Amino acid sequence: MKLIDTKTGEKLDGSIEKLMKSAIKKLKRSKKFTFDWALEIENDVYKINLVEKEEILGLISLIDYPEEFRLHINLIESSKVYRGKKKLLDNIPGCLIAFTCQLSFEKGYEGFVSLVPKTKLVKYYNKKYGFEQMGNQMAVYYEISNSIIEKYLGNEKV
Amino acid sequence: MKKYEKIYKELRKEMTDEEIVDSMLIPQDMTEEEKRKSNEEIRAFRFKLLRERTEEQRIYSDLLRFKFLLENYINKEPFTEEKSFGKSIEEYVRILNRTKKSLSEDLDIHYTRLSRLINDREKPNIELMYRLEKHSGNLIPAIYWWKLVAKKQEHIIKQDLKTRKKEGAKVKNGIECRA
Repeated sequence: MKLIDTKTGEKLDGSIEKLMKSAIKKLKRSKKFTFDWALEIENDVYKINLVEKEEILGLISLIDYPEEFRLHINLIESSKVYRGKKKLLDNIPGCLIAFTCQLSFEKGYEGFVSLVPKTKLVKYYNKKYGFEQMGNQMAVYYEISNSIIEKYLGNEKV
Repeated sequence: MKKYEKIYKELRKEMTDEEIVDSMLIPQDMTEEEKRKSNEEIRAFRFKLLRERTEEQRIYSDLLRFKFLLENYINKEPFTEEKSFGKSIEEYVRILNRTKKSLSEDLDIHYTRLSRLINDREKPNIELMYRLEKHSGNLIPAIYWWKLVAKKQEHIIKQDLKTRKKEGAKVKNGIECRA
């Protein structure tokens, strides 16, 4: 996983794990995050942290549409200290999106991942990750999805 | 003001749009009707993509699925015969929708040898791992195939007390370590 220490440029190992419902409830009114993550309790919420560290660096909320072979990213958020010009780590959302792409392949969904960003931000999701716009939704699949995995998670992970 | 628009405007006081995208995904505010329409659109697109999928795209996706499941097995799961090197070669052949004979020809090994490898009656060498990597269009790295072999050997070393005892009996002048 390619979390980057912005001061040293060092690549750091991260790990992504699914949160239990009880852990999601505990995120209610967390001062570390802007969104109310407790509202995502019906979705699959995953946290990212550095290996062997407790601190949650970021969160992602996913909705599984098995009948459409599609994973939808509902929300992503880096913890407040990992945002903006002075952030200590880079690539938190990238690693979470790449994880979702991999999960989509594992489920047999062909890497298909969708999201609906604010209209003003659409062009950045295209430029940064290669998401293709369809209506107000954006999606990646096949090669683009795998290229996100390779960029943020690496090609050989064993 | 709409919920996510309000959050966006607050964040925009401190960050550029690019920095926001590098930190989070702010969804669009949508009414129930807009959500329904949006979901219908993506659903229609997804089904169209599935209908028009080529055999090449199916193989590409299935090989990546195979790769990521191998990763999970190698990194996180205990050894099982169901995911041995031989069984994984069989799965590879199934994904490619080819015969074992055709794979043996592609890899330039005798069909009998491939059968012996699949049935675990012969151990593969490193050269074969390189050939398999190349054959998969570099989607499945050689090291993944090798780790499958190593995982089995690790399991055997941990479990095989009989051979350990038998081989140990052949050793002379062993070093005696005393604390």
